[in-house]
Amino acid sequence: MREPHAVKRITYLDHAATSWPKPQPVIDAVVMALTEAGGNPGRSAHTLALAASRLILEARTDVAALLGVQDSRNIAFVPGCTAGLNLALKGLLRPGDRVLVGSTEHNAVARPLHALAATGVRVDVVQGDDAGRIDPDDVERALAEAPTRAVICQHASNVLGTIQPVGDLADIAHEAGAYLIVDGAQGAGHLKLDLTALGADAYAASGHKGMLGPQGVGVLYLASGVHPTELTQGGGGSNAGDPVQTDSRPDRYEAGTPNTPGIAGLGAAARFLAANGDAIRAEERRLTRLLYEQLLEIRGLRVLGPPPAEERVPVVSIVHDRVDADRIAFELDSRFGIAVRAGLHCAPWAHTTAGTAGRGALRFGIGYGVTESDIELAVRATREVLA
Amino acid sequence: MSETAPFIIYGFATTHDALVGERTLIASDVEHRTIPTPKTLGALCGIALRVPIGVAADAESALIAAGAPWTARVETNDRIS
Repeated sequence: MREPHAVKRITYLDHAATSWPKPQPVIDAVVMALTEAGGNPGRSAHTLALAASRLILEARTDVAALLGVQDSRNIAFVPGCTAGLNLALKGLLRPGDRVLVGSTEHNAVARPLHALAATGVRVDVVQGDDAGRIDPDDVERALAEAPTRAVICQHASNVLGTIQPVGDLADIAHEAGAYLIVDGAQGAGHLKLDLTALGADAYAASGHKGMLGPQGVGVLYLASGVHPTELTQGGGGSNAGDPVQTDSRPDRYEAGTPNTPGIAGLGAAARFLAANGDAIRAEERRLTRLLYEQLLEIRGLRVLGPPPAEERVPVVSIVHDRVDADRIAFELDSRFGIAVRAGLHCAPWAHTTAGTAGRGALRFGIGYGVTESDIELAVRATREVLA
Repeated sequence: MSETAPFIIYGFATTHDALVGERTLIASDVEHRTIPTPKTLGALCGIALRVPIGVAADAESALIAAGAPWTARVETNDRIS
């Protein structure tokens, strides 16, 4: 008989990549979708299919409520934040359009824009400061230079933690007749959201990070009156005899069989956050500040992003003057069971802005379930690795 | 032979709208049945709502109040089940 593998205790500080562990109601909802609601939603009217359809309606309603969206048809379930951003960008932008974009964007924005630039979309970057903060006055000046189709920015940086003034940017963009498209991968869940009040025309969110849902599902909010061309055509149950993709929401943007287990899990996560989100966010802020302040005391470390007194999302990235980030990450994992992420974090623009493009950084991502003792262990272990 | 009765069947633009309609009728305690969209309604979506003709007025008031309007409506005799 073989000995079972020892289960290593994991101190999970990679929430900016994906949240773990998931709340139990999320796991239960995924299992329920796979067992009691295993039909294909939106097509048939038998018991299992209707159960799946009702799960999706419930999830869409609860996600919309969590995000401050009154008409849940304006919430499209997409495979992830990246897919949502691609839909918004490629569905709204045409050759000859000009866009303004922040200087710390993730590759989920940078790469689609790179592809769009090859088709004739003009991409102008609004440079942020070394913490990535975009000055709304700079955006206003840039908008005055030439007609602009869209302003695009992250809600919060996945490297620096910086929160952008999205509400101000929405007002400025709309004044100039431009859309505001927001990458909310690090915002949704970690920040309390009211997308209607925020004013974004398109807001893409990851379902599995701060929103605590399963991987493989995300959300694209499209304000009423914002109609990107769909990127995928296909079945959905509506107007099946018509060769043209329906223009009714949400079906227009959800061709094909949806990820029902993922959506059910995300719906459960939305309900969990509606009940517990304020407490979770308060604890995330407290632990983020604690981590930042304690890391600052380690000799040779530079902590990126805004100072702890400034509101930020719960990521803290560091660089050391002597030890590479990948080495620190390896030592933290192998010696202490601490999960963190090293490298460029799919955000080379952010590292260029922060002056760390050549070497990357080590990122601690805090989220639901992280405790003060986790933070104390992370600081103690980092200190030992760098000693 | 099965007994039949007159019904109104409502079709919707999307499954989402049909299920919002279903939720509305449940909340309003209006008798109904969620059924596959019949051919007589065209292929609007996979799901339609069937309501006994005697409560159709109640159903329509509830659907309108909830902002869940139907896009097709047909009267039919159907098997009671």
